[in-house]
Amino acid sequence: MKKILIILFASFLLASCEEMLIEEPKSISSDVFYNTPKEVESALAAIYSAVRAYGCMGGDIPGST
Amino acid sequence: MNNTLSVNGGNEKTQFSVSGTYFDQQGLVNGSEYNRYSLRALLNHNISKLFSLEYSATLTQNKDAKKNNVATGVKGNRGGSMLDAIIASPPTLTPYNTDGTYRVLATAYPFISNVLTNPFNYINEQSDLAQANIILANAALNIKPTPDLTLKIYGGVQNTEYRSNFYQTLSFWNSQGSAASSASNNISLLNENTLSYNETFNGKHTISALAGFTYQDFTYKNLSATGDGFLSDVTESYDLGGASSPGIPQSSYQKSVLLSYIGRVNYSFNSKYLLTASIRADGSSKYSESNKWGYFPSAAFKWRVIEEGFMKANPFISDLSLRASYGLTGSQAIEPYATMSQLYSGKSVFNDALYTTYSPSTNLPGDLKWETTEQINIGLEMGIMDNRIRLTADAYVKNTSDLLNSVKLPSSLGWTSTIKNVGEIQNKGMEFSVDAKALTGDVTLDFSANISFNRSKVVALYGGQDILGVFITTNTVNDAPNLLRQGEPFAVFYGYLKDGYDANGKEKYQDLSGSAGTPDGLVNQFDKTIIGDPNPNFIFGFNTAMSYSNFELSFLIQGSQGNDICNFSQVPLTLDYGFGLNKRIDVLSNTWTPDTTNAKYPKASASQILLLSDRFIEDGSFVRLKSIRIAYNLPLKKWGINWMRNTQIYASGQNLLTSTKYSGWDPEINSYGGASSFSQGIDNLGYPTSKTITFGVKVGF
Repeated sequence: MKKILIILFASFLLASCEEMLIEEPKSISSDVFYNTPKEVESALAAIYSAVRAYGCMGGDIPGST
Repeated sequence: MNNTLSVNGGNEKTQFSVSGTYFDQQGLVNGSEYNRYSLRALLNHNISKLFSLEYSATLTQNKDAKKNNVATGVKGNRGGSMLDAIIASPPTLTPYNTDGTYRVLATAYPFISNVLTNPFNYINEQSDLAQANIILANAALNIKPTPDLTLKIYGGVQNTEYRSNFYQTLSFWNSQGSAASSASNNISLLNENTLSYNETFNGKHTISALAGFTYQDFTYKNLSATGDGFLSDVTESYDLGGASSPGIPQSSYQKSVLLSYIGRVNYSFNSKYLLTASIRADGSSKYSESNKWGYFPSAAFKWRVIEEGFMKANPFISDLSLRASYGLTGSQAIEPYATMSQLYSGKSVFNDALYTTYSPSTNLPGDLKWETTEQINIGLEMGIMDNRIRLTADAYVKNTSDLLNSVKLPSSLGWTSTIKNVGEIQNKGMEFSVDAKALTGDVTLDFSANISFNRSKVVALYGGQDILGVFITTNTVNDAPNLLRQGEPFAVFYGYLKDGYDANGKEKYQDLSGSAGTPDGLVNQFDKTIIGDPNPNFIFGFNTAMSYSNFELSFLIQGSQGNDICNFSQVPLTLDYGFGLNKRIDVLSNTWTPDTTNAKYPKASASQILLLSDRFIEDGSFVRLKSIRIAYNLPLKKWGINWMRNTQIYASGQNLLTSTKYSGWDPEINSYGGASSFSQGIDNLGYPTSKTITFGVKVGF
């Protein structure tokens, strides 16, 4: 009985767990994106959001919010 | 209001306990309220000699009705938040027009602040309800194959369902009705498997050992939606489909995992020498590929001197022990995915159409490893006169290395901040406490007192570079008050030294240095110096309890000595003179004029720009009567009542008296504080702690 328990317990310890520590976010990694025209356009559109932000480059660009 | 009911019972094989609690507290602002219901059950059952089972479950529901998110203290400027509007509203105006509608303060005078909102708008026309349902359940199976060996398999789950609903009515100034609703789920699974072993040899050597493996994960999911423009207030935030301009829904996901291997050995010889040694290996998913694992050993030794033969003859000392310990601990106080380069979505408008955007965040991902704290501790415990007086003394040194914190980056780099292992901080200190049973008998008197001294020092920083804390923007002063600098205490205040007023009543500052290291006639960042220290010299507490016949009295006094507070609340209270904002009355007669050139406040001017100087630093020392309680136990026996065991009537008060020189609302404020924050000791219109008085009855059956 004692032996079986110790073996059971040891198998818990030895279980491969490194894999559990790999992060898998549900968001897009920049390493695999910006390859198609559509994906690059999304980056271009993002630049416009920043440029239109209030106070960008010290100015108040028309159309900014 | 606080009600608790509990029932315990069982037999030799099975024991149980069930309890229920209801707690309710009204906030300082009308309509703010917090209440909590909880139900708890515990169950133990011995299945056989080999197996036993423990189970516990707690269900809790919290409801928090907030007003303008006042619990976290939203800092608006010039009347743009509730607390700020309460201060800034002109006393010359009434809150309501003659027809009963809200007076619009922002247009009441031609010069008035255009964001000044009627405070009653916030109180009556906004609702913000946060509700959490929390389930905490865990079960453990103990297996004892021999009397000295135990295998414990433990599983637990904590599930928090959080829901918030915000609505701003059509009657709020300039509002078409605005609603927001969000739901999130936090779930944490825990599994612990430990094997423990206890054995005593020859009646003198006791060994206990434990080895184990634990797994814990944390998953967070969230969904939120908003809408503006409603035809009626009836639906509040419960019919977002009725909004004329619905917002873009948001959702998110986060998960982290913590794995640990633990091992511990305790050894005791004759109850005289006690030795503990342990090691744990912690693996966190949050850190970089090669740095996920941290190894944290510790050891402690205790010598019970009182057990030695030479102490036995001493009638005065009844207990004496010496302790020493050394250990490492790790902290993983960062968000998941901080080391990964991820893209975040957004929306941009072209020609009336929405386009989806994908871009990196403003936080540059970095290589991160465990923040580690090494602690060395020595201590003494002593009891005298049959332990009627107990003394403890401790001294410690704590070195925190690879400190994790956000570092500002020049925005020309494309990122504005990054998280780094930034440096090393040392804390060392001493703690003393004394407990005494001064009187026993008809009149009893117990008291305890403690005092702690801590000194902190920034030992090393990444690249030797200074790190600034939170940057605060107000209309009058804009700066980051806290600084980490090598060789200085933790989070000191950094700014200019004021130097009277110029001929026009504007505040002047001392020219301490310049770009060449000598005074250059200019006041700029080279003239900044350390102007205060938020760390106290010592903190103390005094607790006492006394009783006489059926009466009981107890109170607790707490205090802090020598800490500074950086008082940004001064800006709305006494320094921002634009737009007809109401000020404290001492401003009226204490501003600079050509006749009073050494006035407390600068010349009253609508364009008041000040630099962060020692003007904002105040002594935050205080002594506070934290709590007091008077109780009377009804003499049930005398009255011949047997069906009740005891009944106590009591009155208690919190924070009733405070002695401090601090000019703000509350010296115990820490607007941006938190254990791991670098922005300590700032008061930026923080919500003050409240004085409360409670009357109650406690009944036992």
